[in-house]
Amino acid sequence: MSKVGSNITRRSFLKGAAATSAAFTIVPAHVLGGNGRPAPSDTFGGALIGVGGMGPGTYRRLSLPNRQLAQCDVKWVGQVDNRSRYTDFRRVLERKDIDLIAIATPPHWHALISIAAMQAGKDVLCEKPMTRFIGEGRAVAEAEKRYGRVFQVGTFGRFGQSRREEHRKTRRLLASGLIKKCDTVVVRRGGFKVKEWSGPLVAPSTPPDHLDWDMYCGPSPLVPYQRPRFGGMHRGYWDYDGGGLGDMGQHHLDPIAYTYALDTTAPVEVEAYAPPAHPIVTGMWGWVKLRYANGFTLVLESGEWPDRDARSGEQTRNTNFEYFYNLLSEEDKRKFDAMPDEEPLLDFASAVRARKPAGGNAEAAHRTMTIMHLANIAIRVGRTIRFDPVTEQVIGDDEANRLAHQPMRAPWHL
Amino acid sequence: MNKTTDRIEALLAGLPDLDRHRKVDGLPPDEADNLAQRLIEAGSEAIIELIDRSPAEYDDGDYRPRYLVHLTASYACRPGMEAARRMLASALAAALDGERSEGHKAFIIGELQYLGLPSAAPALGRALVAGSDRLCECAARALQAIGVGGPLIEALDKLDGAPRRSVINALAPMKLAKAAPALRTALADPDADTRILASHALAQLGDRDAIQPLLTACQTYDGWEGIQHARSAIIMAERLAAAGHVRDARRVYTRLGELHKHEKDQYLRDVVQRGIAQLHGTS
Repeated sequence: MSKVGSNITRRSFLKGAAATSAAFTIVPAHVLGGNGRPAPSDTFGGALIGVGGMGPGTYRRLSLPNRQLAQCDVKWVGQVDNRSRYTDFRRVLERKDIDLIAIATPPHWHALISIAAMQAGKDVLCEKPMTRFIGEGRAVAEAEKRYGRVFQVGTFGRFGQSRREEHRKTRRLLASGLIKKCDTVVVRRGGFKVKEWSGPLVAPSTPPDHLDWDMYCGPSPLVPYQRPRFGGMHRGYWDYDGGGLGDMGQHHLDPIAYTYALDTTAPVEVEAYAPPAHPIVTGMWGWVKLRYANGFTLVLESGEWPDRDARSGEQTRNTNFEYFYNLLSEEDKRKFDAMPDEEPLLDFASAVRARKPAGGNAEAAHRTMTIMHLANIAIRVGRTIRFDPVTEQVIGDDEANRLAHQPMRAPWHL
Repeated sequence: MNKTTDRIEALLAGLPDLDRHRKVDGLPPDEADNLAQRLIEAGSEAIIELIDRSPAEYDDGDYRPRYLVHLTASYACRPGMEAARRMLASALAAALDGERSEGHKAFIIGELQYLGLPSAAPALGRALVAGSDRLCECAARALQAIGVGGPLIEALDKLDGAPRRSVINALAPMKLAKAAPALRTALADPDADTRILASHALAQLGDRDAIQPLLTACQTYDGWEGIQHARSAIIMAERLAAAGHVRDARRVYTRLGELHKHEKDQYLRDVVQRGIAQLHGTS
């Protein structure tokens, strides 16, 4: 066991620095490091899990002085040294010299690796979409809270949104609970890549020798290999993602969720217009209406089905701050006017340094992804569903609930 | 062709072909409802014939038979369609017991999971022990989703390797006290993944008899397995505290803190400190 005194870590050093900030003022890190480089004590060990596609870009988003100590990808069978290149993320998470994990695997691994990383004491930057179903999101948010780790999802629209006072005020007002009833509709049309990212039905074939297919499938069923399931088109299979809606939705809705505080609750009723879903591949949909308890309605229109001109019949209305403010009683206006502005959103690097939640923390990201998950569930069951934002259960609909909280293939579990 | 086959041909003709990229085009919902209703009227014989006409795996040929079965299952899950749902589940369960390929049976189990009727549990229980790792795994997930644990507990002692792990994994969220003795045995299994799954399941249960074996596992194993047992211990402590077993919870937290003295385990000691602080509020 280490002696007391030699037990000072970079993290405990930073934590202690919050209480003794004068020390930092006197001896800045760049001086300790020399030549403008960060001091060794201020350099993080990093690892990237899921190296293809978005991987390198996601890693760069860590934006902290770091040494990349490990990369991991299931497509590297026979090409690893288990020192800096791995196929099994568990071996990466065991390493105590790694502090930061960037995750850019396909989405069916996002929640499990994020949770496992936080269990191992790492801070996590995870590509969008954060999750594949609602139960995963709650588990990630619980892990973030239980282990006191920093989590940021890889979408950043809310940061730009939060720089405008109008949006911050609107968010503050809607998050306050003072708006009991409104007649607001926000329509988000197009950009969901519905057909582009629906899955093709092709014949099984033999997986390439360099791919650990079992590990790729992970918590999803171990099915015969089909080429499109790996490498981009995975988005079109329910086993790995939620189609264009599941994959792109977090990008599109992150700013909307921030401004209207939709990331503090969840819709209570969801209605979809779509053809019957296929059990394996994602497919077409026309529109989805998601209603919140206070009457706020979010409408997603694909602009692709039944044709490009199809509309839900809803128009965006009553979205600005003045509209909401004027719904308040004089007493509630006084209450609102006395409320302080929210603290600025912290990016990942600032959150790690401050040991505070990041702007795109797990709870906010989970609530935002819940919008897409509920939309996909309504599409898949083919009927209107009602949802309890507190218990996160679909009310009176077991089939829908089984899609909200899905079993995993052993040995993987939430 | 017999009458059922004629009816199936007519129904399949109502489904569009795949597009040039082999993707599913949209069928208007009212047309789909019409097809589903007609399949229900054609009865269980038609459903089984549709399954047997489908390719062994999902995508290797004509996609329409399985799509028709699935859209009918979705239709039959609507309120007021209980009789159709029971008929469909009964037909699928019978088909699962018959001689069919692994791919066909995996599809059937998936549809039984979607339908979610406990009446399918006996057939799913037989699939657990039928000798196929893939089908056992599918059946375990289906039973977990439906919420019927009896066949899982019965199968546990008959299985080893991957099927045994599948069954333990399915039992964990069900929190069945009857499973505890077998899970405690599994905590001493030679296989690391089995031990991890067992410790997780026992933690979910808040099983007091598993406290010492779990703490021993925390002490014995490091690396990935150690991290997972530590996670189980934290969940165990939370469950014990919630059930009012404050002394037991404190014992788990305290030991966990003692076992994690590495400088990089400060986060875990922080979890322990927060947990113990909360116990002060409950004791």
